[in-house]
Amino acid sequence: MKQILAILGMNLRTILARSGSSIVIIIGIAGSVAVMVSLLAMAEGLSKTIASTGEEDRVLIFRDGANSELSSGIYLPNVAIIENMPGIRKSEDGPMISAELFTIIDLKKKGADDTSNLPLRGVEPMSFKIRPELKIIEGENFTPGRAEIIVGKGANNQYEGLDIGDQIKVRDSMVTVVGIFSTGGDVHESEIWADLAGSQGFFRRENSASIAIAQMDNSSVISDFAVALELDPRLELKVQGEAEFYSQQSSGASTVIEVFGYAVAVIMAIGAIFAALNTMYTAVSTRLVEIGTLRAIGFHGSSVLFALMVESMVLALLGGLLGAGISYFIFNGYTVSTLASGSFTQTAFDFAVTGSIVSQGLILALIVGFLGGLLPARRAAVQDITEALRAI
Amino acid sequence: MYWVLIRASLFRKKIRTFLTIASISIAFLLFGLLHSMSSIFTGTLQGMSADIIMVMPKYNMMGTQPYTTVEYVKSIEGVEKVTHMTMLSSDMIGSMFDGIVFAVDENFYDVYGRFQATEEYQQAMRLRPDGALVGRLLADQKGFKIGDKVRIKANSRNEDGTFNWEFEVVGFYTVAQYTGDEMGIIANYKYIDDSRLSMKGTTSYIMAKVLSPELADSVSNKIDKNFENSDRATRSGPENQIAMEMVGEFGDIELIMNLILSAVFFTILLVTGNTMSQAVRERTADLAVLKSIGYGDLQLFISVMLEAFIIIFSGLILGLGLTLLMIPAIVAASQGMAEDVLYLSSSSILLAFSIGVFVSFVSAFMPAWQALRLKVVDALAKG
Repeated sequence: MKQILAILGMNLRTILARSGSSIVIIIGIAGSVAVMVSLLAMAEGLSKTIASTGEEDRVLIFRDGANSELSSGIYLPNVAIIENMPGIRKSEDGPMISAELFTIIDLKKKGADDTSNLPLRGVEPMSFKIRPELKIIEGENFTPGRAEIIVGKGANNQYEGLDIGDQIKVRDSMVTVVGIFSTGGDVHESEIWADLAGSQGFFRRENSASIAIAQMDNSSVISDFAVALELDPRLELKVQGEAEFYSQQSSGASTVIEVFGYAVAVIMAIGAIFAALNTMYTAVSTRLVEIGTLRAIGFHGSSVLFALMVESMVLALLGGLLGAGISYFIFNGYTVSTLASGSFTQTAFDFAVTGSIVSQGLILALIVGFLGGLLPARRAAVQDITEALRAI
Repeated sequence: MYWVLIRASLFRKKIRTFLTIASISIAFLLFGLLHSMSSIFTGTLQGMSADIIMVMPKYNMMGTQPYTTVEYVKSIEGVEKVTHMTMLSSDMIGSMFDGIVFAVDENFYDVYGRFQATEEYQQAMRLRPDGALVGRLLADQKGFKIGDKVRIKANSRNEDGTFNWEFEVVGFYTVAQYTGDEMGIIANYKYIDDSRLSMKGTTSYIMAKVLSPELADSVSNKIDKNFENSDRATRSGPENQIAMEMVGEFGDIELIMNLILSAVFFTILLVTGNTMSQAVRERTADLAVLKSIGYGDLQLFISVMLEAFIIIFSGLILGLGLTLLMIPAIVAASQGMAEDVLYLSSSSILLAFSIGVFVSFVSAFMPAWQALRLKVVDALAKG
């Protein structure tokens, strides 16, 4: 052990002297780790945003056969039928169910030339009771009956002309932004909310909405409620748990990014292993004489091997930390938006560099360091002492 | 003469040369793979035509537009022929791998040449209103045969008041390019529209063939202008351009790709630069000897530069070669979905070669310069 520490101390102190080749290991590994961490952070951020939407004890009611809010449609008289079914929680203002109209408008993203789609959700006052996570963080809520809208935090960040007091055109009507809301980082922050009756007017959708959201007494009554509703021949509706609906939506895109991230990182890591092998072979060959001398004065081959392995892994770890650090400082919290599956609108999300992603990056770095150090270290450890010393 | 020098230095440390070439080839493999996917990232799919205009509902890609829009598009000057397709299964993303079901008019194959069905199958469709043609790829994967029944849940009600529809397979269709589009089922529009209770007289996408590609923009603008601000607003454009715009909405994927590639090439630059400077440093004494026996400064400079070129281009050729070997394997693994999508274009190969030249220059210049400036006396004194 003492031997290992002695050699290791010497090796590590001389890293600076060999900085050129040591940097190759560090940068090579930093590059692959940074790419992997960034892509995984993107996938994580996207799936976190979508999957964090929804509560276990709330349900969404769709038209039978529809798989997204956009393709769904529900008549308001049918909502009145559902209203009194058992399982829906009652409040002093009546049953906690609200019809919502999900439509799309297009606006310019900041700095873009073309417009992108974002959702406009027409809601009833009950929607705010059903979703207590919605908080107005600036300005005030819209007043039903007036041409007013409130804007999610993400939409406000990403689009031009969505600050308080701004006016935007929704189809033929001008509406005024009166407030900005947060929903704790879920998908609704990429939406614009307005009064249901008003939005039905903008989009000429009298008497119909897209979906209904209901607050249930608790999550265990959902299945009975769903069966009762789906069996009612007047309705042709179906029920899906809110949390379940959003977690289904999240899987697609983030899995693709994740797989892509791992694939690129693995290929880059293979390249980094070759670079690390190269550096460590050079590190060993320039120190053949030192290593031979150490062996000659009684240091074990295994100590030499171990110390060189540790050196390679220390360099790799430094590279890993550097890569994760670069990715963290550039991307953590960086907001981008992408097309949401199912609605074809933009969902804003933040890159999330989490502890588990960083540790995956560091594990990759250590694997590269280990594989890159093993062969050169073995060569140094088993080489013939006399041969090594003859090099003098 | 150079060859003797270069061969000697390349084989001086075989492991180092091998490892350097290996890490460079991995970098170019990554370059090749990312570039072969670039048609997905940029939406520049082969086979998308510039003289076919797509007219989609502006606010809802899966929505519908009135059939009268088809008539309007037909009436525009410069439009040769018009067809349309109606999506029946409501959730495109969710049903992507089970097959998308859509309904078309008889002239569909004539106008939209990318989709092809033999005259025999087209005739079978005319004879059987509830017939359906299954995409070749989907049929191969799911084992559909002529006479099979296909049941789907569509987004409009059937005569019996439910959303359930049933079709009988009467044949197959193929797609000239972009095989992923063979994952669908085509039904008869007239039959669907006659028998559905809701959404009668609507369609999803309209395809118009214009007389020449130069007319595509003006015709598209005219259509969009006509329906602007109405509840049937359209988004029109040449098919190839619409595909690019749609990909653009997924976010700036190209930027991410370029960031990855920059990280990769910064790394290669460093690896090769380091290897070359090490090689020169180790050989200081040898170089001095060469100089003293009469090799010129410039000759040694060129020999070091050529050495770097050989190392980098060996890596480049190996890496791109590996890419070309891997593409068919990936296409096979995707069960044919990736065919026509994954390919290495000649412009990517050209770009790889220019990067190779650039990296060789930058990484070898300093070491080569050192070799050039080396003073024989100093070098031999040190050695």
